[in-house]
Amino acid sequence: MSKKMIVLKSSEGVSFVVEEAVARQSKIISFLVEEFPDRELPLTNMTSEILRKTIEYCKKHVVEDDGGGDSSSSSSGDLKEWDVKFVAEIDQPRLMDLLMAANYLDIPSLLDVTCQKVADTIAACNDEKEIRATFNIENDFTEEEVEAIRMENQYPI
Amino acid sequence: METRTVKRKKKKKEELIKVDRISNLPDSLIHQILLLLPLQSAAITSSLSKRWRSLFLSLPDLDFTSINENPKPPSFSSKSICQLLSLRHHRDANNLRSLRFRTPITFSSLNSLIRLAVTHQVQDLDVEVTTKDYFNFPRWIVTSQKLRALKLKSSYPGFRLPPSSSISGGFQKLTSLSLSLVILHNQPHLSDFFTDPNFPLLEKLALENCLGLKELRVCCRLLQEFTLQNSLQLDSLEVSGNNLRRLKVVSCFHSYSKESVVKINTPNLKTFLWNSNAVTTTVHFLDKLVCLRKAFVGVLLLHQDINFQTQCLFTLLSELGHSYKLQLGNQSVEILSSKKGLVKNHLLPFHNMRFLELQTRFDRHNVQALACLFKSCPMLNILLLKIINDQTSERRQWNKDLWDMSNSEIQYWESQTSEMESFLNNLEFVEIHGFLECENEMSLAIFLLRHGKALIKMTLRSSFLCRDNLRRQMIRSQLMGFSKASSKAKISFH
Repeated sequence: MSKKMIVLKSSEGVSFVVEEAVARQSKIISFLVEEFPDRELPLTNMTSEILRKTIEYCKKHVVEDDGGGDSSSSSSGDLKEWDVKFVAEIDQPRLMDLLMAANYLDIPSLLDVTCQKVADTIAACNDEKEIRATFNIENDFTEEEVEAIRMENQYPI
Repeated sequence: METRTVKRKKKKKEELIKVDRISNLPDSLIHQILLLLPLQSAAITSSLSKRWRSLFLSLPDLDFTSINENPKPPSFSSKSICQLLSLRHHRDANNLRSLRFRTPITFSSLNSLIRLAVTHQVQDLDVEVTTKDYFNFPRWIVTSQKLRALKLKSSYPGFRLPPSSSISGGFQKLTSLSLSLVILHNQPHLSDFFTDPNFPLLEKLALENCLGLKELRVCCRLLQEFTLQNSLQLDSLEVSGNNLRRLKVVSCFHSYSKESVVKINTPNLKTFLWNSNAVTTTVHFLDKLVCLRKAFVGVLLLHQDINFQTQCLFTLLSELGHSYKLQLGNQSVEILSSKKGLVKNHLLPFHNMRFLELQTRFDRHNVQALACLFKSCPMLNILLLKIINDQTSERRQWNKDLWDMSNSEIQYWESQTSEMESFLNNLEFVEIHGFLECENEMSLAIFLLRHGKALIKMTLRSSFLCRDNLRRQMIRSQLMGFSKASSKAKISFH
């Protein structure tokens, strides 16, 4: 029996043919597939690049249930390692896009992985200045406000 | 032309990188990211910009125990917890989802902290404190209309509960309650405290270290899980609830009181864990436990009237007849092995039992009791025997030369074959831990191999004690070469 395929369309109008089981990891797609079977699903707020990345992640994480013995293609340890590498290779703007995509498509595990990567990046910074520089965050506090907050944040442990 | 396009592209790319993408994420996503950080690191982000400050001050979960300093201090100080809480906006709805802290604290700080948390409509409160003297249960908690889960633990020296009358009408949303180190010398009889009017939605209750508690009655309609630990003065316990699935009682009851009585009225109980309790406690189940899946019975053997202890244990075991799985602790097995035990009295057969786990020193005097237990489990599939090997055990070495069946233990097991027929026809998996090739376990293993018709696998695990390797090899190869009743039986050594 051939596997059922569905078509996802990016914001640029590029079509991606994906196995249904792969795409169904997104709760939104899962819902849409049931509501509109045999239809192209337009994902107007996702670029081809991000959609390709998302599909790459879903392909790796799909749990096949063909009745065969080994259901998952890789062990959980390998998968974790793969995830770390997957997000490590992505630059920051694209990581944000991917995070938004995971949120929009409702893929909890991808959202976890991308959020964790952002959290790790923040944790690796020494102070707020470094965080600002890393994420291009503009400081809209006055000098006095900054000083007041710094005093507040001296949490004695 | 080409170079210009490349330049333009490059410029465009640089601009792209300069954009602050993270601050434009929805609040819920930034919260999700901040919650992955230790609270201190998350606090640093509050000075990034106005947006980040308001995001930090509206963080739904505050865990003041998540600290990434080394060596790790137990928690933030009460002062900083108070400070951070008072910075938050009171008006926001669904404000504080959970608050967790562990800290030494004064009464007044604790009260004002809890008051702040309740003003922020906390739903899940997890508090562990050390105080100078006993404190009274903070009354602000009672009035909270949002609180769903409460964990209050005193590391030292404990706290007092409010009188039942003063909490009536409070705790209306509470589904989970856990209290530890409760001083009950002035109210040793809690017969109407844990009841529906006080806790109408309670599903999970855990009480630990209840000092001075003598009488306890728990009767909550929706309760699913109840745990009671370390309440040694207890002599009367009554638990009822149609929804109760899991009951755990550990290290409770007065050891030398003959009058400890437990009444359990829980028709849908699935798991019953009874560990390190005085064996002289009489347990009455008012309903047959027809849904029981798993039971653990570990009791404390006392150096006194063995008759009475045996009688109590038999009564308890006879109520667990419907269980799918039964685990017996070492001292329970000892009592069953006594002269007044299984040799004299019979247990009703456990017809549903598929899984039996026994802890025992496996001395000579345990052999008969084990045989009787096996006879009482006609449908057993899995047998797990955990042998305790310590200095006090005096177990006889297997004499490898006595390979003929003249060994008295083997002869004993052989004589039981016909009475154990059903057991031997159903047993599929046997696992013996602490297998040191002593006489008792060797005889049992040989017997099960010879007669276990359904046997699929026998796993023999030796403990870390190193023995004569050559001897072990020889005994193992003897076992492997033995004729088996089941053609598919495999033996594996670990």
